[in-house]
Amino acid sequence: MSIELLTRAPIALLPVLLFLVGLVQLDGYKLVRMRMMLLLVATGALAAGASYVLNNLAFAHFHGSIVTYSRYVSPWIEESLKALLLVFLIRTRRVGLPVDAGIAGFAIGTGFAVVENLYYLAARPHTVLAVQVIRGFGTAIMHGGTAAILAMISNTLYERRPSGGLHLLLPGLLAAVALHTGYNYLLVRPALATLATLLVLPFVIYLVFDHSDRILRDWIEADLDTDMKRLEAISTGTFLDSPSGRYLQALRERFKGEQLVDMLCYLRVHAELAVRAKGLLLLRESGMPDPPLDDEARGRLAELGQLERAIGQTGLLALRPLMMATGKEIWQLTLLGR
Amino acid sequence: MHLQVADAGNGVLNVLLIGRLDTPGVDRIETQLTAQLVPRGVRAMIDLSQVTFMGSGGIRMFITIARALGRKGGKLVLYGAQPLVADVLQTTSLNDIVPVRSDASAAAATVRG
Repeated sequence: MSIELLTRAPIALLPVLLFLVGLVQLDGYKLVRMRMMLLLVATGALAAGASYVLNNLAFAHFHGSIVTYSRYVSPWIEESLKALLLVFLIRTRRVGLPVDAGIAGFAIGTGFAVVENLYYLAARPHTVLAVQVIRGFGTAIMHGGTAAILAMISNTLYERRPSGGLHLLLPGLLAAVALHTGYNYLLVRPALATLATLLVLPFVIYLVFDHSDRILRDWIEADLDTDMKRLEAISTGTFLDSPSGRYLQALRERFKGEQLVDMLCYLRVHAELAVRAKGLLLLRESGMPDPPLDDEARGRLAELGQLERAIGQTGLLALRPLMMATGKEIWQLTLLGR
Repeated sequence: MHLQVADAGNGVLNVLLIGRLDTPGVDRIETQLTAQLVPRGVRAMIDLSQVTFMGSGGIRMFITIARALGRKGGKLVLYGAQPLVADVLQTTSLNDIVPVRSDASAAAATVRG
C-alpha cells in the first residue's frame, strides 16, 4: 500500500463516517448499539468483497459495455447483497423502527462504500485527488443512503404485516436499485452525481427519522398506558369485566380451563415486560444509561417462553386481538435480550 | 388530578399528588409542579400515597423534573406509592434514577442527606 493511498484514503472515507455518526446522534433512543454498528459496517465490507467476485463473474457473461453493466446489472447485485443482512435483522425483529432500520442500512452501506472506495483508490492511483474525494464521498453516501432507504421501506411494510413473506422486501429493493441506477447514470460527471446525492438522500433520511421519532414517542405513550391499565385491571381483579376480559372468557368454549389461566398469565407477563421495555426507552430518551437486566426480568422472559409453549400456536393466535401483535410489539422484547 | 405543596422545613418541599397520573392528569399538573420545583432547584419529596395510577406521562414527567433539579443542585424523592404504582416505578426502572422510599421519614432522610 503506497504512502499516497494512505494519505488519500482518510479524505475519501471521513465524510461518510461523519455522516454515520450524525445519524447515530439523530437516534435519540439509542436503538443501535456501538457493537452492533461495528458488526454492520464489517458485514457491509464483506458484502462489497462478495459483490466484487459476483460482478466479475456476471460481467464475464454480459454482452455489453461496462457503462451499461454498471447502470442495469451491478445495482441489482450490490443492493441485493446489502439487503441480505437487513432481511435477517428485520425478519428476526432485531430492528423494529424506521430509525434503527435506517441506521443499520446506512452502516452496512458505509462498510460497503469503504471497501469500494479503497479499491478505487488503489486501482486508479493517478486520478486527480479532488475527483477521487468527490467520487468517494458521493459513492459512500449513495451506498449508505440506498441501503438505509431499503431498510426503512422494508421495515415499515413488515411493521404492518409482521408475518409477511419475502416479497415485502421488493418495494425497498426496487427503490434502492432505482436510486443506485440513477446515481450511476450521473457518474460520468462525478461532481453532479455527488451533488444530487447530497441534496436528496440526507434530506429524505432526515424526514424519515423525524417522522419515526414522533411515531415512537406516540407509541410509547399510548402503549405504555394500555399495558399499565391492563396490569392494573389484572391486579385489581377487574380484568374479566373489561372488553378484553370478556373476550378471554368467550374463548372458554374452545380452550381448556388451564389454558385460559395460562393465557391470562401470559397477558400479565407480556404487559410487565412491555412496560419494562418502554421504561428502558424512556430512560434512553432522557440520556440515562440502561439499567442492568435483573434476575426478575430474566425470570419473566423465561416464564413468557414457557407460557407460549403451554398455550400453543392456536392459543397465541386466539390472543392476537388482545396483543396488538404489530412488529413493534414483538421488537420491544428484543430490547430486554429476548 | 391535583396537587398540594407544603413546606417540610429545612428548605424541603413536600408535594402531595392526588388522583390518576395518566396523560390528562399529567397535563393538569405538570406545568404547576415544574414551576414550583425546577426554577429554584429545590429539594422535594413527592407523596404518591393518593396516586391510584401512573402512566407514561407520569414517568416522563418525573424523569424530566429529576434531571432538571439535578442540574440545578436540587433533588427529587418519591415516597408512599401504592403497590400498583410502586410496581410501575420498579418495572420501568424509574427507581434507578429517582429515589423511591416507602414512607415520609425515609424520604425526608434521603432528600436531606
